[in-house]
Amino acid sequence: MKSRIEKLKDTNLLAKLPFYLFILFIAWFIFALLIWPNVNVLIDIFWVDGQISLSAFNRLASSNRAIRAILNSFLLAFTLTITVNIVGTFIVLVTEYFEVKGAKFLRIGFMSTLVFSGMVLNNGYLYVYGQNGVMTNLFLNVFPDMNTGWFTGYPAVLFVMTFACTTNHMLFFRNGVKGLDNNTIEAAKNLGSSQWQVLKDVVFPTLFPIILTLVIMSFQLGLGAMAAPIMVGGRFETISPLILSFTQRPSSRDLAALLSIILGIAQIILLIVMTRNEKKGNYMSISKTKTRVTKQKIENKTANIIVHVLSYMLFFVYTIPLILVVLFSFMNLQGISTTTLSLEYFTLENYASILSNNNNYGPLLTSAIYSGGAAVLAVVFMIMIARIVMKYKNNKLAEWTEYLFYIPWLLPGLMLALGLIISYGAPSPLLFNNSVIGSVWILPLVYLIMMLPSTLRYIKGAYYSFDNNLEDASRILGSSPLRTFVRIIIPALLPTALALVALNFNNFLADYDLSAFLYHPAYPTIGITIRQNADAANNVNAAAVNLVYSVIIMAVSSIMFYVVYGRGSKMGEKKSGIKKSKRRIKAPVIVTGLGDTGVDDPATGENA
Amino acid sequence: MIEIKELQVKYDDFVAINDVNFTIKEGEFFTLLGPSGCGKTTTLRSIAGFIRPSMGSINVDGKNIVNTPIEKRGLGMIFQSYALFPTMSVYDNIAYGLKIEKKSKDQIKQRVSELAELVELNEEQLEKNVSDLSGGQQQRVAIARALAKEPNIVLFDEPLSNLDAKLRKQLRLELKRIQRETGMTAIYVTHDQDEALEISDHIAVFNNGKIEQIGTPREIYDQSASEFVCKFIGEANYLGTELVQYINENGNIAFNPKGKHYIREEKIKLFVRDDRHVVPVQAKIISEVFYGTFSSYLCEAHGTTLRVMVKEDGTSTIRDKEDVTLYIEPKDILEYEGE
Repeated sequence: MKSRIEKLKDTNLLAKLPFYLFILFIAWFIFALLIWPNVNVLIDIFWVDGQISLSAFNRLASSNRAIRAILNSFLLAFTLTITVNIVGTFIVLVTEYFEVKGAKFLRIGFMSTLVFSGMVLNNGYLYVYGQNGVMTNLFLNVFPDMNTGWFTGYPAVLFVMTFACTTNHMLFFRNGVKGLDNNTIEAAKNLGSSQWQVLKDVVFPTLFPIILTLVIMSFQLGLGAMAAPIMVGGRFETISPLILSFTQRPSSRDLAALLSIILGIAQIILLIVMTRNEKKGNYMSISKTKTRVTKQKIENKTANIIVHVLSYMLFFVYTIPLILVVLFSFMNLQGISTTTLSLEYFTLENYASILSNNNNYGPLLTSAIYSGGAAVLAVVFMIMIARIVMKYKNNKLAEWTEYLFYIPWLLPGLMLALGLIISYGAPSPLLFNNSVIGSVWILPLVYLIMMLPSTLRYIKGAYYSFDNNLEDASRILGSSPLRTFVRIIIPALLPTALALVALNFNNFLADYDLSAFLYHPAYPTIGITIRQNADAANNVNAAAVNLVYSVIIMAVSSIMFYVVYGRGSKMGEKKSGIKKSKRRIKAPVIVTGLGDTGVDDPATGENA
Repeated sequence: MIEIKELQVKYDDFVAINDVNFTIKEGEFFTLLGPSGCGKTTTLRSIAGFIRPSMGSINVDGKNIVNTPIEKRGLGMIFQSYALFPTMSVYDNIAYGLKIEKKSKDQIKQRVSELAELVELNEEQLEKNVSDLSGGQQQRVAIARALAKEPNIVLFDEPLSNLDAKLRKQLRLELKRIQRETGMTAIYVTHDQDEALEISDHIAVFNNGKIEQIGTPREIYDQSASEFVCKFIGEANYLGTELVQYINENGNIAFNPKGKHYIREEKIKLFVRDDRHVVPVQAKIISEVFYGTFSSYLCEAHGTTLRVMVKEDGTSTIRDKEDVTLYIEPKDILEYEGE
């Protein structure tokens, strides 16, 4: 007589039990953490006292503060689109297209926003241009009567965000310019075009889809701006900080929900426009013998001088805050308070006190654990999901599962955060009678959720690049599906997986937007701490701590970028199993693809 | 012995292969030949177990293996992309299947050495990463890996298509040698007719998911069963109605004037030295292409353009625009039903 277990084994049920349990877990995850919180945001707005209500709309319409914030957000979005694209296009052209002396040097400065970003960047600008800022004090020497609080409000937000958001240009527009076919430029010149005409008729039209996407991305960043308005906005309030403010008052939570819906709708519309734009294809060269762009010498002498002067002025705008942050992090309190750079004030005390004091390194550790843990889990989880999605590609359920994991792309992170607060503010059976309020898990969980779409997209991309014959070869040589997955597939995915862990970690290390909603008071994140320390009322000690935090975060980011994009990335490439023709996919771009809005913009810290 | 019976693979409404039947004897080199999308790879992958047939059976030594898991079929396979594991060395690639079989280290080492010798890989190459080898060497590793577990049947999925023409020719002969030395049964997929003719014992020509003809290379070439096979294998001249009528009037075989008629280009002679039943046809040379060992002449005869291949011995005096006599033996003409 066969035992019951043997009978189960015979029917293959027992062998497939872990798979079915995992499917059950996926179903719970999608419903409880991706769908239900967002549905609850809608319920919170439209369902009052057991009936459908539009009262939230009326309250919002009658709230001057809310209307002003919406208008401010749109104003910022529109103007940011213009300024970012002008500056972004200029810095790419002078480093990649025109012959400008010291272009390599300039490029380093313009790319500094890759690591000098988010809260660190905002804090840096505040330290340099704020009330007691280094540059403000310098200006005071020249204009003694000037208002020391000059760097605040809409112009300050626009200024900070303009230089922060050009990272996308340095990634995508730069790649576009580098991908131009030099023959088309030469052909235009040969036909009598001037330099300006070549730009107007050949270069810009070729790069039009990228430009349009960058315009949309800038608009999105402006609309959802949070860190910059909070840090330097003063009375200039935008939607995201207002959502945070309304969320903290239970009586205004429906308004917060409605504002997040407005943000969500705007985001979906922009995503649709962007996707349509992507589907139109690209106009890059169709040449089979493409030649690399050779740098164009600016023929007009005056124009050449103006371009050089502007380039170096911008270089200083980009790098001065960063350099000063690094330098002042090595000054003692006197140097910091008097904004005086001197060898006399040089000290390593700031670093020593942070690295030796639990209160000081605590937030750094919290952020590292939260973002690191979430990054690893997101990648492991999405490797499994992508495996199922790829294996059952023709299955509608698998297709919809994939779509549902893209929800965090469609809606702002703030809406998810708010949804979780609304849904699980009290113990809920969906969370096995747990509540998110007061939980240390909620923030890393939201990080993880926000990391999922881009991670899934890139892991799926890696699967596509993976030579399926490898799996077949392993199976036909006698390997079981599990062994094949562990021995053949995982090692092939490893370079992409590690790169994604590094990038996800980087993107959320200095997060402020989500932390502001969900952080545990006992375990503040680095973003929250920098924000609190940046308050003008705080002491010099706090400023010193912020400077050191900034340098440490920049150092960590630089190491991560080196690992992912620098020499470190080459280690796994050779052994990745990625088809030769597809090797270029090995490391994901930072803001994940032109359609991706799920990851914080590395430069601004804003969640696009 | 392998017996494929009424094999069908369907994807929704699309039928990839239908009513595929053939038998392969032990130790035979059997080729599935056809153009892209004809169903040859689908058939091979069904035998391997990567595709589950919608209908039919795959019998190996009398046992239907349709429901047998891939890893339990005991087949070897060589892939078009070689599918070498990039994270492993050459040695580890070859040893992979043996490790799964839990062979001892010594056994693995000995078997890998034997295989390395068979496919002509040296000790130094065994230690290298697979990506450090050339295309031809990678192919040798793929062969060694597939043979490691001494499978009776080895499947080849266009294994030479990624190599340059010269290397491809060289490796063809080696594959045949290895197959003979090991005595394995080989099922080989290719779209290259020359390759198929050169190495196969039997060929199955596929078209639109069905087998058009199975036979020895000579049968397939000389007695192509369908117009498709005739056109797909080698080069054939289509004979126009006027020319067929002329041959009917002057030859010893009467062809159906409504049929379609072809003749291989090397079967048309420019010179005849014996008194076979040939029909002399007056023609005019339109152009000549010299290929070194042979020349190809494009001729116009009775409203038909014919390509004639002549072995070049350096004595040919035929030139462009010259009037010549072509000699066609009616038994060399292949006749197929017209539409």
